[in-house]
Amino acid sequence: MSVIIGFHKDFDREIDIVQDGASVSIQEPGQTSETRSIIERRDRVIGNGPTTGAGVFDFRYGPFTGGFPEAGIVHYYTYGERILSVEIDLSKKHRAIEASLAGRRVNEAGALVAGLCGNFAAAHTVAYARAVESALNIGVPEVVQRYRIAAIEIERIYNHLYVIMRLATAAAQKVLAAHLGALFEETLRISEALTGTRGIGPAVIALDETTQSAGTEIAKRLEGVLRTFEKLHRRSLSSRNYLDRLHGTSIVRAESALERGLTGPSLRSCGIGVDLRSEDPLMSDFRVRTKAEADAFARMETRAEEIFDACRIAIDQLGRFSSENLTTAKGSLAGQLVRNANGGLRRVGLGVAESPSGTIAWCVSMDGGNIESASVSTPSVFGFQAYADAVVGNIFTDVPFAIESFGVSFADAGR
Amino acid sequence: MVFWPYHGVIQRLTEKSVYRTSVPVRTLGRQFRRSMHLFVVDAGCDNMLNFNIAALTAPQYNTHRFGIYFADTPRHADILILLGPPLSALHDAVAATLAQAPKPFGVLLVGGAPEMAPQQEPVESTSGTPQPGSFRELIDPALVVGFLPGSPGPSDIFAALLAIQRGDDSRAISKSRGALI
Repeated sequence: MSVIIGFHKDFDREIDIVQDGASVSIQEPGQTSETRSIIERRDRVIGNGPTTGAGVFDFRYGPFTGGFPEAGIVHYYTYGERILSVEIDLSKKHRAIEASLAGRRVNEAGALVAGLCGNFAAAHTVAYARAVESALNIGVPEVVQRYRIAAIEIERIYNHLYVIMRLATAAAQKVLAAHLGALFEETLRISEALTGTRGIGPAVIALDETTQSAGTEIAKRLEGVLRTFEKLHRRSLSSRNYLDRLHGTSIVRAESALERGLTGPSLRSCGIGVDLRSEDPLMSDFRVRTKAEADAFARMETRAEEIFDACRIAIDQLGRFSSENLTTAKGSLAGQLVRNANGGLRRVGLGVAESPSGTIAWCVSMDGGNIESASVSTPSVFGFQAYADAVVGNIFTDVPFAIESFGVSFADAGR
Repeated sequence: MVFWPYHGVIQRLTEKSVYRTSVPVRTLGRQFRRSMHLFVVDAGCDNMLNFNIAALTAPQYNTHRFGIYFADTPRHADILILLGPPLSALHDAVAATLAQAPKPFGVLLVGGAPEMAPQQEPVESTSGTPQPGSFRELIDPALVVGFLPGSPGPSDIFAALLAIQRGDDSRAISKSRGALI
């Protein structure tokens, strides 16, 4: 089933960014898709509209409310217990980053792209870099591709750990949350050892901050994360308190999830095995993890299994190149970029990456080395829409488990 | 795995480190030396700072040993941590939150990469002074107890908090130590 996940203005024509299974492409407009109206409303309010009636009121949550770390506003329409409908205001964190990129040189854009959503910075920068490389016809050395895979997998680990830590905190599992917090901090430190910044940023494409010879040490630390998380996760599944809060909470209907553009672990926990990584030739033995239940527990379990996989993938990829290879590849990539950027090519490029919460797609129209226009499709927009659909019918105490299990970010959705 | 609470104790995850800040900060006064409550306000950050704040609650830092706790409401807070760069759409909400904090309180500004707030006026970073520009428009500079530009990690934020709380334990403390705001 193909779904529109974004729009792009390529010089003087409009095009759609379309995802069909694990492949993403650009197409001429014309296809009907339920996501079209969601994308059109993403700078304002999405959700399932207000509800009125006797005793129904708008319970506004945010922008600075205990429980929501990020600034965003959610309107819950309720008569006091059951949630009847939800509207999510994504405008507060809108920073017009795509418009800010227009007119910039390609090498000036890294910080802006990484800063779109700091916790998905690796996925955003890699997708952006792939779009630029596609537009400028740049061949990326295999060692750089492997380095990027490792960076995105490490980003996946700390994002998934964060989600599970938040779920454990919401369920008052303080001991589990504290230990997950320790692992979360350790993984952020590993990302710093790999790229020079906590929260993998523009270094993924610039390759400037790579800590040389760190591969073996990083692999050893990742093995430690894997071992500890295995024990913690096994133990956590023996707590009925924890499991009861997640089982049956905010169930997503698989058909509506696909139609409404949901991707990532939230989609895979509905039994739909769509993952962009399955198309990557450098990850030939990759196995897509799915669950059938589609509730908050399934989403947590999918993320937990992806942590195991991400540790193994990152360790494997880091073991397949040396820092010397990477330095040489960096020179080759930089040379191609300079040559092709000065070649006067006027082309559009599409780049995608499987972020911790789903598909990120960047579409960039290049005029030589200048960005003419840029557009991005972020997974959190569709994740918030899926949350709004899934939480209806649940009660208020389910809200933290519901929203955290989707792993969505207002910064990512706000762009 | 051993019995769950024992597992926590024997891991010895808390790190013994000397936390020193390189940025000037102002103390709030002696009454906060044993207990200081924080409320985090995301005024427009890219969410990585929220992750770093979450990491600050990890056992490696164990902020509770210094009496540093996170509050769920500004009404219980002694320090408001303002994560920036602030966006104009959130200015009113930030002002309303500041108005809820009990006096005396301080504001620690964190973050502020100027290019990440395209619709804001250009912001110049001047070391040693609170961030001018959009931050200045947002809050009274007299409330500011410190400014950590860029994307500081939890150890940087923790060092600044300790210096604000326990000024005489930090070399970086400014001469205005002890002044109440």
